[in-house]
Amino acid sequence: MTLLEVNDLSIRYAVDDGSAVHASDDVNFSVEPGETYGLVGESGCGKTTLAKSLVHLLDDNGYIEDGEVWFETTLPQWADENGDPKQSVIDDPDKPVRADGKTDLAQLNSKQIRDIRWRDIAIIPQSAMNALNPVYKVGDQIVEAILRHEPETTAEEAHERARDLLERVGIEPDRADDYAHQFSGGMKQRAVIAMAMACGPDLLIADEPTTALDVIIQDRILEELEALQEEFGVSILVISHDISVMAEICDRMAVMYGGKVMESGRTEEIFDATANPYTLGLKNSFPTITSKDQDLVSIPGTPPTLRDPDEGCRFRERCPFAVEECHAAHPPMYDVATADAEGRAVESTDRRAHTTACYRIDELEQIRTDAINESTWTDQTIESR
Amino acid sequence: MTRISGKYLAKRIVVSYLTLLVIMSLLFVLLRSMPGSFITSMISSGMTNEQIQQIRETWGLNEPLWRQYIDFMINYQTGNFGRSPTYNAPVADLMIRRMPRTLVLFGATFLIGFIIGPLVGMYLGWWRGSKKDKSIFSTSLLLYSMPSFWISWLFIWVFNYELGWLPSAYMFTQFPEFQWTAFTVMRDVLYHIALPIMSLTFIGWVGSMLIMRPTMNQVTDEGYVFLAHAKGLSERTVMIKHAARNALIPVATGAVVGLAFLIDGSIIIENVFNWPGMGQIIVTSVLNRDFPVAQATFFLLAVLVVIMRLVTDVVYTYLDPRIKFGEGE
Amino acid sequence: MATGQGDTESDGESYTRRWEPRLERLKRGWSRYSEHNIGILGLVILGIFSLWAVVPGVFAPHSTDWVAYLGEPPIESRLTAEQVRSLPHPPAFGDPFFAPLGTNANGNGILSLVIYSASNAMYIGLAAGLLSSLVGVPLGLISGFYGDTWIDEAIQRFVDIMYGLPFLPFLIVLVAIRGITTTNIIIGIAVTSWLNNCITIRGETLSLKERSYVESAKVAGASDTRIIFRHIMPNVLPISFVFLAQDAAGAVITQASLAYLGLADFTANSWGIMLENIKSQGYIFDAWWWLLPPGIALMLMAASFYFIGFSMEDVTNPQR
Repeated sequence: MTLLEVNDLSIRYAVDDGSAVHASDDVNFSVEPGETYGLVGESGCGKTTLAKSLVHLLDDNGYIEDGEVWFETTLPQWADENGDPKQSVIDDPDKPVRADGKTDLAQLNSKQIRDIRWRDIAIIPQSAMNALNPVYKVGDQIVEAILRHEPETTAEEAHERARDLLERVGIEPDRADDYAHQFSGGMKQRAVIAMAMACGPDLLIADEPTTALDVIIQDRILEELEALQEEFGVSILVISHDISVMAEICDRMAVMYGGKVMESGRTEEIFDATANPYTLGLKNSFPTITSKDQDLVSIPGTPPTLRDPDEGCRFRERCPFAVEECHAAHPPMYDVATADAEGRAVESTDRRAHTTACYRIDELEQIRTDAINESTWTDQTIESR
Repeated sequence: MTRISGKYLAKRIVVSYLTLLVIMSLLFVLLRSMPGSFITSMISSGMTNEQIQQIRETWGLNEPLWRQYIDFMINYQTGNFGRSPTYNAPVADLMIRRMPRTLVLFGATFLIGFIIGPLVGMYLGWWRGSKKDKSIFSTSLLLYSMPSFWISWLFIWVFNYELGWLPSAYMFTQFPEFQWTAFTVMRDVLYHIALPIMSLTFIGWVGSMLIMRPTMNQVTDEGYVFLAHAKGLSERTVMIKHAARNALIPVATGAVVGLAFLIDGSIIIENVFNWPGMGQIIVTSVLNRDFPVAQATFFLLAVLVVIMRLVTDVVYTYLDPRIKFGEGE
Repeated sequence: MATGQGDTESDGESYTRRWEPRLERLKRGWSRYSEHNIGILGLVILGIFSLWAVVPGVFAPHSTDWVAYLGEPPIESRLTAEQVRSLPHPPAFGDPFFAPLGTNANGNGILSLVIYSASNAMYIGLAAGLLSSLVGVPLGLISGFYGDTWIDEAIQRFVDIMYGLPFLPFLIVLVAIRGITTTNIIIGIAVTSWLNNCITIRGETLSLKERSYVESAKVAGASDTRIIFRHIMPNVLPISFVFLAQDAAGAVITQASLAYLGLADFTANSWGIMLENIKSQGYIFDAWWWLLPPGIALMLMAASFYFIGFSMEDVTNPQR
């Protein structure tokens, strides 16, 4: 049973001149309960947009062009006493509810999605340091979330729970009466995590949870997230540009580039049997603690602007392995296991399998060997394409 | 009141007091630096020598300048404002009668203006760039550009001259046919104050809106506003409780600007509507060269501004918990 | 600093190199400014008023001395009692005379008076705005540049005290004492209106002086004056224009208010005086053609300054 199932999700940003930025194009992935799923890629690749779009938190000019976001939940007014959707709701063709009890979040209106936010899907935003309102006590801000989604709770109970949550993330319960400016950076981050757990969500979106923190605090935050996951069984969707952070905490991940998923699968598969030129490049550009003398090689060029992109593989302009075929259309997802075993390209429909979007999947061995060479990346002539 | 420390308050009061001392000194210098003799402007042809001598005496003009300055400062701080030659009465008595009338008019417009202005600013800032914002904003700038006496005339024209609904002058009915009781007095004052307040707030709210709108727009980009949305709070709650509450902080500090505008406005309005307050008397006294009254009125209006600033200071510290009390600024 | 390369460069080239980025910035600023309809509208209105101010004779149907029935000076005859009774005369188009906005009680054409008064308002607005910038900008720059020193402290205390001054009462007393002249009115307005200017420029300077190019100028041994006027001032000037426009608008309205209170230079032509006349002569509710045009002109002049100022503020706003 999956918790979240994203099908062919495309997100656009409208631009004044009438064009549209394709922040995400036909993205597929799914998250199981209790799993940590990572979205990794350079900034501007659409990973944050993708995560925010799940609960309609895009900027004003952003919108879901197409696609489905099936999530294991339903609206309070559609639920029976067990919390499952009523049969009448499932049968109603106007209501975006499936027989297996999932609801398509993409089709909810702005009022309905507010019931899903935080109760089912909580977000720890990128700027968690600035996410606490400076004029309210930290505890009251947690209470506010609890009372919003559980109106039957009394104020005392909610306060008690807020103090427990703070204690749970290592903050003295009495600090609930403090204001954000009285907290240190790490404490603010943990207070936001506590707030995120306030309504017992099924999915926690952590947007760059470690950026802008020093290394020691980074580690503690990651440990905190892992401990929460163990205790509450919450699924976590982590967004980061830092592939080493992802390796540490994710069960599965999707590598994104230019609004497209380039490679997805289990974390070990992606790291041990990397099957996409972009992932290979990304790995090259991050240091690993184990190989001290490793030369860091960055991918030359800059990410595409995504404003009305043309046909063809999104990565082709920076890819040293690009061939004629890459200009025609963005490649479909190929199964990596088949390619490694039999050396042929087979399109995969299994979203849990290790898949990659690269036409040259039949030459995987060669590409992996070449990609380690610095010269492969630096010597490529940036053709006019 | 536990959060305001006495030390902080004391510091603000001392600063306010110093401000007043400087303003008084400025007033002294201004009046003594008048072209020609200061006294000649107050002497009319029909005065006896005795009267002239009395004026010289009350103004201490026979003393050296430094002595005059010290006397002036001491007299003013003890509420001794001298005598008015035109009203032939102690200035202090005049002030005591006029001050409350001005406070009523000014206070009412201040309250209404500082409720409407931030509210409109909140909506415009939240929806900045929308068609609604653009049209309301440019309209309000047009209002802000109207001379207050002119817009008052238009209001009088419509509501008094054409429709006959509201009186256009004075604070009370001049020859009432009803009995004076607490209730009828209240009703009569409200009836007379309606048009002045309408005229003044019609343009007076714009000042605080102009401060609220950009700060509101700034806070919409803040992390806590995003988080409030993510928590599933309604648009209204996010806008009012999270965004506007923070945007109000700069409005409190900027209130001085709107305040000045309203004081200027109420002086004009008092003259248009024959409202017997300080704004009216400062103009007539200046035109009649009744300087004891003019300078006392000026001084008391300065006191009003300083007190209002003290109040906004305290409000400000209440709005923003980041300010540490008792540890200076 | 002249390197060999610099010497071989032709004058034209170095000229382009110095001015290209500035022109580019100007163009970008303009394109953002012109996004605002009110900004364009403000420029158009101000343009029309400027024309009125510079060449009123082209637009006005008669001179300010023209009298209904009698025409332009020199005037030999006098108005008949019946003719006097018909004044102020509503708009007339040729019969018995031509005055598209009617006349005042003296028989002068309202439209001509409105057009001839534009220069006065323009002069007061720009002079007061400039004067308050001339005080506010340097003080703000100095205060910000020497932030957290006694110089800054002194200037800020002074600003604090000045904020305690009730503006219009101060102006009334000042003008009454120093004499009711246009210059005194302008000085009076400028004395209190530079405060906001100073505070905002100070804040901007505080943040600008932390920028790397200022740091590097300092390391290169540039003097304080050079850094302030050469490196920081060009960057705060756009903001000071915002205040110039706002102060100009405020000055125009304030002058009219003073005129209403009887504190104006009655030898000049101004919209404020036209309105004072209609009040003192008691025609407020009887002569709409006299009441409305000066008020609307005042409003449009002030509004055009505000429109320009607030559109410009958006250009200077680094947030976007």
